[in-house]
Amino acid sequence: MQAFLSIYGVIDWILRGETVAAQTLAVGGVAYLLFTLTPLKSRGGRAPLERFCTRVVFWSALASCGGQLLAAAALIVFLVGSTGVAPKTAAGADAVFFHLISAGAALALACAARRPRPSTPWAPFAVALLLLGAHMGVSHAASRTEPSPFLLIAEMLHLLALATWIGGIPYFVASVRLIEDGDERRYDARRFSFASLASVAVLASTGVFMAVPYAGSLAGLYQTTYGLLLSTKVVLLTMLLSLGAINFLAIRAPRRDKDAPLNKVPAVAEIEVGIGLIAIFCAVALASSPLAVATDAARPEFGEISAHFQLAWPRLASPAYAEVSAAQPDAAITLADPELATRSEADVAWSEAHHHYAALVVIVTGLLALLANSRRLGPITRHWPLLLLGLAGYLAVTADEEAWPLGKIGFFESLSIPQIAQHKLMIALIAGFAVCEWGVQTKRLKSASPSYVFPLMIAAAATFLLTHYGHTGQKEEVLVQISHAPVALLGVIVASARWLELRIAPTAGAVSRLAGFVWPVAMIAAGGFLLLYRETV
Amino acid sequence: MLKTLAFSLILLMGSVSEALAHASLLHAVPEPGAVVTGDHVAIELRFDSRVDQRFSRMELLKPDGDAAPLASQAGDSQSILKATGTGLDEGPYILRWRVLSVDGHANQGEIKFRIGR
Repeated sequence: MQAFLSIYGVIDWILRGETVAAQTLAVGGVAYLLFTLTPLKSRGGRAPLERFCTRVVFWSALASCGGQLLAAAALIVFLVGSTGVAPKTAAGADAVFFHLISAGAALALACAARRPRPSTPWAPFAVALLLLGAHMGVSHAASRTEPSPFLLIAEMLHLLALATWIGGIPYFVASVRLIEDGDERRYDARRFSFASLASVAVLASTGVFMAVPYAGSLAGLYQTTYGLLLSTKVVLLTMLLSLGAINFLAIRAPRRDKDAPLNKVPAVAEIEVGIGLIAIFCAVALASSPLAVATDAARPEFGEISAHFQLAWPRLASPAYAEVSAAQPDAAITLADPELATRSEADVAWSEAHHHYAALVVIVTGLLALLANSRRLGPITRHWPLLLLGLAGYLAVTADEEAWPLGKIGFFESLSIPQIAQHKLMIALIAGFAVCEWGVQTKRLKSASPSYVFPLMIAAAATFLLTHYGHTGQKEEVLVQISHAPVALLGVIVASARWLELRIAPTAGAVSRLAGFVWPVAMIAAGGFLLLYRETV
Repeated sequence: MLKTLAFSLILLMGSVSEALAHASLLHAVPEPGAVVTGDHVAIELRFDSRVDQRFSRMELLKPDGDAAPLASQAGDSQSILKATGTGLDEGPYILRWRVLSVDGHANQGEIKFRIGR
């Protein structure tokens, strides 16, 4: 039970993220049917797309229902374990009630999607609104000291706009494939881009409306964990808008061959969905953070932030292992009780130096990846993933200095410590995707699927990095978050550009080459940011 | 980047307890580090969100290491927890609190203070 209580925060974050993502897809499908397809139903030729929409709405609504039930069950177990109440009492918590209502609404939506198609999807749309309304019960707006109906309405419209835009994209991508008639396909695309534009306007205006009371001030946007998550969402929204603009222009561009497929559009739309998903997990992390306006802990001043990022020569000399705290006689006690842990100058120097070594490896990896397509150097530089494999081995030795092989804690013993176990898992994943990507680069792996491992893993890691910080409100913690956020956002760019390169390679040479140039450069930039990494004692 | 990405999972697991982060404490009586005179202390914790009082707990860690649960009293609003610690000897105390906000997010913390004479 103790292990469950200690990881409940992560479980809750994953379940809330999954339910919001599935709910966005389900509601997005209903909105797509209502706003894009229904007005055009007389034009015919859309039956396969309609069947696809209802099938995806059904399964995503079921996934949302399952996620809500699991979230309710996890909360009940958490309350029983942490407060000692009976399960029946725990089931009476307000949040459990709203999780169950949301599950019921999601199930109703799944059932509505299975019914023979009505003349208009207004009934499913009403159920979708009920689902969004029930979700309000587990939102920031509902827990305010004095709940404001305006904030509740704004949050609901925000979710509806998110679903109509991001949740509608998979259906739009399917329309490119399933509608054969060129005129109809373009007409459909124009209607969806109009619905998306309206959604972006609603998303931005409701976002600003909620940000004003929640952030409190402009300084709240960069001095607090909440504000930084909010700022990250704004950057992700900007990325989404840029991608949306590319698709918008591609759809509206005049074409000689009206029946020619919109080749680049689906690939760009897939990236939009991916970034939208990252934004959803950011929003879920935001919902569990204390509001910036309520964060009274010492905030870093602008001067302190700029001092933290002052250009300085990387720390290339690490202290000897014997100097760090982990090598001291009481190291095991310190690890068992983090309250006793204090960081010495040597610990900071050790950490910074190894961050900077890793940064240099990342920069060299990016440079080699950039040269991988060169005719002369390619046969050598395409082996760049092996550097990542080496980095994983290096991390396995140095990242947990308290544990084997450097520290006193044995390898198997260290796996019982959650931090170290997770760290080892992450290192194993880096090694795994490095080997996989090496197979792809050297054409040892012939099928397409292994090539997607690299962008997907980078995107997942960037999401974790963007969303998980201790929320103690300490100044140092905010400074670490500020230094990690650009690296994570560059990770999003690496993943997106690599995905684009893979998805459009056969048909769009120039765009593919541009994408193939962007992701190694973003990798080099991320290494550059890591060279600025600083810690405090 | 990759080392930082790897460390993200340390942050992920290591910050789990702190990541359960709202409702957050806005004001506490006694304040952290306060010295309270007498043999009892009136406790009042004010949060930035409404809390589900049925699942919110306070306990007092005494100088001898024993932990005594405190019975919650009705607060002036849903965002306030109140309790009274009685029969207290001189020495350092730790007030531990754990709350569940009505939107289902849990948070916990502690306040150190002293009983003086």
